Order: sequence, then structure tokens, then C-alpha cells
Amino acid sequence: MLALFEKSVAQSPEGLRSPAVGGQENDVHGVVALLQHFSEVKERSVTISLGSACALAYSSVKYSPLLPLLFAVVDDIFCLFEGHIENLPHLKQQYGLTKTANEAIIVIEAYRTLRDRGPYPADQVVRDIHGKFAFVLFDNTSKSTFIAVDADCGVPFFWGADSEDHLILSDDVDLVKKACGKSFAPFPKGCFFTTSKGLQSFEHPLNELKPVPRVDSRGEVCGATYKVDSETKKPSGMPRVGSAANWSNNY
Amino acid sequence: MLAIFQKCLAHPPEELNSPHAHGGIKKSAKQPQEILRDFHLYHPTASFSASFSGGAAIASAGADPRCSPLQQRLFCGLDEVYCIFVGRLDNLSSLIRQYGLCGKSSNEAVLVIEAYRTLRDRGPYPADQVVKDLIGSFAFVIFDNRVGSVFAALSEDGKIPLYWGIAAEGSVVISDDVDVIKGGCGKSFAPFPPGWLVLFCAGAGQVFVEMLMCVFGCSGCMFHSEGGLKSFERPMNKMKAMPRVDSEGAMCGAFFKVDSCAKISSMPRVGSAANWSSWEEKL
Repeated sequence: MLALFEKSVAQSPEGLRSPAVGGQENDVHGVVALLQHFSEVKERSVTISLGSACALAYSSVKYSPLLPLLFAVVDDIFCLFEGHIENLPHLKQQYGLTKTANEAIIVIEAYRTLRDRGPYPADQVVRDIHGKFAFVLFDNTSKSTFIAVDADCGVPFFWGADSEDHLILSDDVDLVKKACGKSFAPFPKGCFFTTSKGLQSFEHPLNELKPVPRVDSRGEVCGATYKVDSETKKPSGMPRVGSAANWSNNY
Repeated sequence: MLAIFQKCLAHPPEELNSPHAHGGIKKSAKQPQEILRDFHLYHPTASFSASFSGGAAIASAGADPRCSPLQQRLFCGLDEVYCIFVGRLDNLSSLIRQYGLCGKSSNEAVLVIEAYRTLRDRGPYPADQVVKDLIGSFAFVIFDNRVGSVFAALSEDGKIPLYWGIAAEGSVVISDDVDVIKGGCGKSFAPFPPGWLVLFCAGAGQVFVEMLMCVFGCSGCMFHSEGGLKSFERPMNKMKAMPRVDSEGAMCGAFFKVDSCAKISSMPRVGSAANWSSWEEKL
């Protein structure tokens, strides 16, 4: 599976881009070249390009039946899902879907509920999905994306930033290496990425994420892993003041 | 909306080929990639395309904010079955109940995919019965990536313009935009006959069944790859391709009509004393 997003759709977080732009000979540059390389390498591949904003590609062969790759498009929402959801029947009932719904449909429905009605915050929605999974969702109407992995990262999933600042995600590390050179890393577990709010952790939604540079076997800086910073908290809505304070300032 | 299927997936009827296509105007028939590129140029925003390695490509121009709900374009992909649907279905809610889908997240494209899947896996009714149940003015193209089959139909009232043609290398192009078709196929195109459906099934690398059936009206037709074009209503009569002449006076694809004079010979008429052993060869 491969997903490619333009800078306006998905701003790659800082720290993912490595300063060292050491290019190899068989690096693939550019969206079109990468898609073409994907269809050459994988058999029975399907490539979907949505204008300049986004490109998705997948091939359903060579996936274990325990962690299958599914793709669905409903109502201009595209979803690539890899893995397995354990509480599938419970989620089907919660979102009011039929017995023919598979994991990709559930994720699309969960995203649609989040987008249109927003009864729970996004981190709660992702926390409700139990299992080993990684998914990439793109909403063509609002040109926004939603990417998440489970808390233990049971499925291999990598992301990187290429030379034109596109965000590239794939479960094939060679593909990401070819496209991004050194600017790639495994997707941090227990986190999700959205267009509007960037990378957040769904296990600790109120804490900031800090990039920790990775050093690969050659001693060069190679992307970054993101760790939850338990000291800094995101500023919450309620200001903390003593009871003697003048509360009229807040209104 | 645009759908391109290469020769390995779909064999167009021969009559769609305009005779001029083999002449000097062959340059006007484009390769599938060029047609796709032109489509993206026509619709720079909100258009997407999906290319399948088996030799098919689907593109859609996305939701146009100006178009009314009567002319909506929907795209859906479920379980390796992809559908582009244009138009509306009047009896959507009863069909959703019939196929057992849930009402709030099912639109016309999801329903048509479900109808196709029922036809493919269980086949309780023949294809024309399934399409006859859809009431409304619509046009849709379904591509099944798992099996490699194509299913296209246009409603009887023909309010949605749909065209099909042959591009370079014998690939079938189906679109609702006449400029795209003209640019891609040159002269080898025709309007899709309203009230008909076409079904191409691929199996073991060969297209072995192609059905072009008329759903409504008296001129029911079936196009089988071995038997050629046949009419349901008058199976013993041959079908004749009547050439269409476009406004420039050039031949441009064909219509198909039942020829009430020419009959297909089935049972040889001989006297009772004749030698019937030669009948075996004619079968």
C-alpha cells in the first residue's frame, strides 16, 4: 500500500525531514515516477490519483489473511485499511452498519460521524478501535486526511517526506526509502495524524509530542520518532487562577 | 465520467468501428493514457482517476456544485468492485430494503454494486431483470477487478447522455462527455443505446461471454461472442447494423435493428426422404 499527500493536505511534522539529502542511484523522485515504480514492482496493482492533492496505490496480493489490505471508496472518502479489528461486531452495531460492512467501511463511517456530528473527540474514536491496524483515509470533499495506527503498531507502517515535501506513507520500507532517502521513520505507535491538527497521540491526547532524532546504522540522522512528552501539556481551555483573582478579565 | 477498458477485458461490437478508422484518420484514435490525461486537463479540480493493472481505467469529475441531485455523479468502490453512477434512482429506498442494505449510508452507487454482486454470486434473476428493477434516469458502469468483468447500462428514457467508442488498440471507452469520446475515438463512437445493458465477463484470460441486451421495449437484443448479435424477441432473424451518419456526413458507428427479412437458418427444411445425416455438421 502507498499513499502520497501534497503539502497542502498533509504538512509533514518537523523532525521528519532529515537535512542529509544523500540520494542513492535508484531513488525515485516525483509523484508520477513513484506511482509507476509501484505498479511495476507490485502485481495486480491499482493506482488512484486525485488531482495533485493525493495519490493512493495498493495491491492486494502478498498479504497474510490475518492482516488483509482493504480499500473502499464511499461518498468521496477513500480509505486504505490494513490489519484486523477485534471489536468489529461492536463497532458495526455502534455505527449502524450492515453485515456486509468490512473494516474499511467502518473506518469511513467513523470518520464521517466524526466529521459531521463529532459526538466524541478524534482520539476517542481511534481508541475505540481495538486490533492491529494501520489506515489511511482521504476525504476528497474537504481535501483532508486522517491516518492512524493502533497502540502497539501491529502492522509495519512507515512514513517520510520526499524532496518536494510530499508526505509518503507505506507499509513497504523499501518503497519509502526509495522515495524519501533518509527522511523517513516508522509511524509512531499510538498516534494519529490529521490535516487540521497534525500528529497527536490518542493515548495521551493532552500531551505534546516531541521528535527524537533517529540514528541509523551508518550513524546518520534518519527521520525522527515521536515520543509523548509527559512534562509539557497542551494548554487546556480552562485558565487556572486562584480564587482571589479577578475573573472579569476572562469574559 | 470516463471508463476505458482494454481489449483483454472487453470486446466492443465490430459495428462500432467506423470504416474511416483504418484510413488516414487513424491518428485521431488515442491511447488510453492520453485519453486519461485529456480528461484530467478538462477537469483540473476535483477529478480523480483509478488505473488498474489488468488494463482498465476509471475517471470521474467529482461532485459539481452546480449540478442538481437529478444529475449527480457518484463513485463507489467496495470489495474490489468499482462503480460510477450518474443520475438518480426513483425507487432507491425499496431497492435498499430489497438488497438488505442500511438506509443512511447507502447511495445509488452502493446499491448498484450490491445488485451486481448479487447477480454475480447468486444470480437469482437474469441481468436484464435486475436492470429492469431500477427505475429512474441513470447511467452506470461497473468494473469488477476480481473477476475482470464490466457491466454498463443506460436507463430507458435516455435522459443521461452516454457514449461509447473504440480507441486505439481496440479498447472500449465509455463516457458521458461527448468531447472526451470524440477526442479519444475519432469517428468510431456512437451513443449508448438507451434501455440496454452490456456485460463483458472475462475468464481464464479470454472474454468468453459478451451480452448486449435490451432491457425494455420490443427490440430485445443479445450479443454473444459466438453467435453474434441476436434479438430476444425475434431470435431467428438476423440483426443488421445501420450506419449512423453524423452532421459532417461521415459514417460514425452504427445502430442495430432487427432485419425482418433475413432469417438465421436453424433447422434445415427438407422432405422426409432426404438424408438427415448431414444435419450433424450444420449444428
